[in-house]
Order: sequence, then C-alpha cells, then structure tokens
Amino acid sequence: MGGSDRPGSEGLLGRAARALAIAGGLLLVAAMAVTVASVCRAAFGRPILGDTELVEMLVGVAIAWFMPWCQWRGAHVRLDVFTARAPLTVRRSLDAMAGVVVALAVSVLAWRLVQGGIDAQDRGRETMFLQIPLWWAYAAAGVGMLFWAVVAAVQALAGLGLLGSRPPHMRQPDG
Amino acid sequence: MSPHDIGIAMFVAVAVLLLARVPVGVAMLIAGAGGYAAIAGLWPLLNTLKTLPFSRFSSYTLSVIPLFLLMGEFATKGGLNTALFRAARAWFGHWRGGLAVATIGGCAAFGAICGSSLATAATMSQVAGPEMRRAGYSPALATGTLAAGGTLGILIPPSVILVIYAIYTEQSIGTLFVAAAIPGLLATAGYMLVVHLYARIAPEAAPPTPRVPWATRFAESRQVWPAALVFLVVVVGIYAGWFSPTEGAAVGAASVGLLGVLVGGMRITGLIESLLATAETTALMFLILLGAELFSAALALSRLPASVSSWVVSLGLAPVTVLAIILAIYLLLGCAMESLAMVLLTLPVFVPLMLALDFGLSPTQVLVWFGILVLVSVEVGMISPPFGLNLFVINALMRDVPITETWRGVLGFCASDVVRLALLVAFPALSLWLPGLV
Repeated sequence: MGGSDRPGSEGLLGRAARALAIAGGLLLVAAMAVTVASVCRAAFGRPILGDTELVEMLVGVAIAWFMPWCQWRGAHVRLDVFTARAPLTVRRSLDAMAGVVVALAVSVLAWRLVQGGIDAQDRGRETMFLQIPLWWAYAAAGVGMLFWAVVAAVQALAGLGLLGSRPPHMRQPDG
Repeated sequence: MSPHDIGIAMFVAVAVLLLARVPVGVAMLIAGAGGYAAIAGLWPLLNTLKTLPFSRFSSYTLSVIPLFLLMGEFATKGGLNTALFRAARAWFGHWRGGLAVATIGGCAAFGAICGSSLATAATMSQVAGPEMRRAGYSPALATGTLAAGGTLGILIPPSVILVIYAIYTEQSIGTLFVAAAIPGLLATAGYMLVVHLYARIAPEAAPPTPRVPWATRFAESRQVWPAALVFLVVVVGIYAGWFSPTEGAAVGAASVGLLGVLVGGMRITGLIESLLATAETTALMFLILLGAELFSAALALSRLPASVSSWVVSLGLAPVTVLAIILAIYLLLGCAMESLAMVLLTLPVFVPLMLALDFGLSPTQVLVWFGILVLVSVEVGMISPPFGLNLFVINALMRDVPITETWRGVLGFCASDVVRLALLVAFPALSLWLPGLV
C-alpha cells in the first residue's frame, strides 16, 4: 500500500502499461457517459437500445486493460504478515517463485481468453440487441491479457535474476 | 480423494500459496482451478476458462464496482476531502477533541461518496493529519482517529464490500445500502464518543481550538450540499428503484467528476491520476473476484459447504453461538487478511450455514442482517492491532509517528467497534428496520 514508493512509468513496459491503463480508464468514462445518457433519455421514455451491452463490452475491455498496470505496479494484494520478518534472502526467493507461479497462471488465462475469442468468431456470436460481434471485445481484451502475461513474465525472469537488474516492483524491501 | 477431501485440500492450498507470498487472487485462482480439474476434469476447466474471465470483467452487475471506485477517486482529486473536512471543522472544531471529531465527521461524509476504507483513510489523512499535528494533537490520537475514520468509507454506503456481498447472495444492493445506514451512523457516533472520552481523560492530547462564527460555518459548508445531494440521489435512487445500481454509480461518478472540475479545480493531470488509481484498484479487485469465482465454483462441486452446514446444524448449538463463532473467525482472519478475499473465501461455507440455522427470521432478513454483521467484523479487522491494514496505510503516510503509537491510539475505537457489533447481533432491527424488513 502507500503508493508513493512503488514503480511509476519508467521503461518501455511501464510506459506502455500506463498508457493502456489510461486508455482503459477512458473506456470506463465512456461507459459512464453511455449510462448517464441512457438514464437521462429513459426519463423521457426513450432509453438507449442495448445500452447495457455497450457498458458490458466497454467495462470488460477496460478491466482487461487495467491488469498490466496493476501487475507492473506490483499492486496485487499479498499476505505480508507472516513473512515480513523473514530474512531478505528468504523473501526474495519466495517472491521469485511466486513471480513464476503468477506468470504461468496469467499466461494460461491469456491463452484461454484468446482461444475463447477465436471460438466466438468461428460461431459468429453477437450481442443480442446491437449485434456487435463478440470477438471484437475478445480481441481488444486479449491485447490486455497478453500484455499482462508479458509483464508478469518479465517480472518473473527479473525476480529469478535472469535480466541483470532487479525489477522495479521488487527494488525496495517491502514490509 | 473424495470431492470432500478435494474441497478441504483447496483451502489448504490457498493457505500455502498465501504463505509463499503469491497474490491472493492468483492463489484462489490456482486452488480453484486445481479443485475444478480434480473433480470435473481438465478439459471442462480449460473450456470454462475460455469465457470465465471476460464474462466476469464484462458483467453489467459488477460494472458498478469500477464506477463507484471512479467516483471515489474523482472525489479525492476534486478536493472534496478538503472541503468536507473544513466544513466539519467549522461545526465541530471547538468541541472537546474537536479536530478529531471533525476528522470523524469528514470521514463519514467522504465515506458517503467513497466505497473503500483504505481510500478514505488515505485521503482524509492528507487533509486532517497535518491539521491535527499542527494543533498539537498527540500522534496516537491523530493516527488512531484517521485509521478508525477510514473504516467509515465501507461502513457508510456506498460500500464496495457490501455491493459484492449483495451480488454474491443475490440480495438487492439498494436494500443492503439502506440497511447499513443506521449501523454507519452508530459507528460515527461511537467514534465521536471515543474521541470525546479520550480528550476528557487526556486533555493534553487534544488542545482546544477556537469557536468559529456561524457565518463562517455556513460559508465553509457550501461545498457540502452538492456532495450530500449526490449521495442522496445515488443511494435513495438505487433503493427506490429509480435506476439500477450501475446507473446510480454512473450518475454519481459523473456528478462528482463535474463537481471536481467546476468547483475543485480538477484538470487533465487530476483526471489521469484518477483513472490510473481507479485502474489499479479495479484490477486488483477483479483478479480476486475472478479467483473467487473459480474457487467457489469448484467448492460447490465438492459439496463441502453443504456437508459443513448439515454437520454444524446436527451439533445442535444455539444459532447465536454459531453466529458468534463465525464472527470471531472473521475478527481473527480480518487481522491478517485482505477483506474482499476473506469474505469471498468464506461466504460459500457461511451463507448456507446461516440459512440453515433458525434465527426466527426470513431468509432475506437473515442475509441482509448477516451482510451488515460481516461488513462490521471485516471493518474491525482493518483497524485491529497489530496487522490492521488501515494502520499501515496511515503509518506509510505519516512516517514520523511510530506504529506503536497508532496501536495505542486505535484501541478505544476497536472497543467501540466490538460494542457496536454486539448491539447489532442482539438487535437485528438496527439493520432491518430502515429497509422495511421488520
């Protein structure tokens, strides 16, 4: 927690993750605007057709685009309490292993989501009212998921000491 | 292994992964995936994973969460924290321990627009922390007040934890918000009373500040009215069914955003900071939600929750005893664990159990009442020494105060929490009367 001493947007990866998160934030603002517009129009008996579908797609993609930034910042909640007093070397090796576990899990998620998108395209799945092809949303979300996997993999490699320097999210002794 | 054993193994796996410093969401995801694969098979798991993440992210019901988070960030970056604290200071400042009372008041008001305890604690610390220190308040009282005040962020609706509880138990979000109103006000009053007693017992910890003329009080309160209006429209609107929770959150976020731009002087930098902070919190919550989804799906397949509840019922304990044990478990776990993950890990077992016990209430009443009790116990965990998360947030922001001081300062507030929890258990009407469930 505390925020201030966590990595910012240094390096290509950090800048890209930050840009994607801001883009996702704009999608969220767009979803907000669509909803507000729909509420206003509904007050006059003319709601926007399929507004919930738009909101679902926008927010779904936005959240996928938030993931790499959260990963980059090392913001995902961990249980620090029991290991905070452990020697630094123990914590570092645990973190290195945990990094690998996270990278593997995220890669599986990204792989399956891309596969799900390909399925959706094969079957021509569309949203009910607006008939937006579902794979568009999957493709956009897939960008976020794949990038999330890349960030996690880079962090895992760095945690194992394979990239020369320590990754920014592990640089300061946390606790 | 029988499905039961797999269910138990899943809990063990989560514990081991957590100790190995794997993030909470990923730990639940891995344990859930393992359990799912062991019971249903690997291919069904891989098939589920094709659609599960995106359908979680793109759920209309859950989209209320990022929107409420955005609203809270807009409130912070738009300077509402300062405005609310200044107004509370103008009204309460001359009381005994006035600045601390004002901090509690400001936190309560901010909590009415923000659904997160950590965000409220962090935001109000920036404004009220330096102010109390300048006025010569003791570090223990100042940091303890801020940590406790922060929990009003989740106790007073809108509350992200409550939203997730409502969605999980298929209860109305509006009903739970309204049910949380009286307990939230009780919390505010209780905290103010603690400050008052603290200042009475140790007057040197809270030097008096001068009384402010009435004209100034109203002048300082100008920015409070729009914020109060937003709160009323959002919470009442959701409860009365004028709009869905998502619509309410969108309207709330848009109006607080406008307020921030027009009154609070929020510009592009502030907007980008709000978006990035929302992105971070949203992402960490949805990773936990995703892990919890798979975990609870696998747990349901193992049928462990059903057996646990029939076993507990067969023990023939008084329902209140069982409830007390459950709440004690929450208080203990809450000292060490992230609140959202803790709630999501335990609900699959505790909700069927609560419904199986006879409290003389209807299922809806039980679920709403239990939701409020869970919320309060979770919140106590956030400020109980030594590990409460809020204590560390405050500690990170006010580095010159040793954490032991904060522990000392927060004890009184913890005591008031425990008293309130007991009251809420003894009198379900405190939670059920306002939403008209009694």
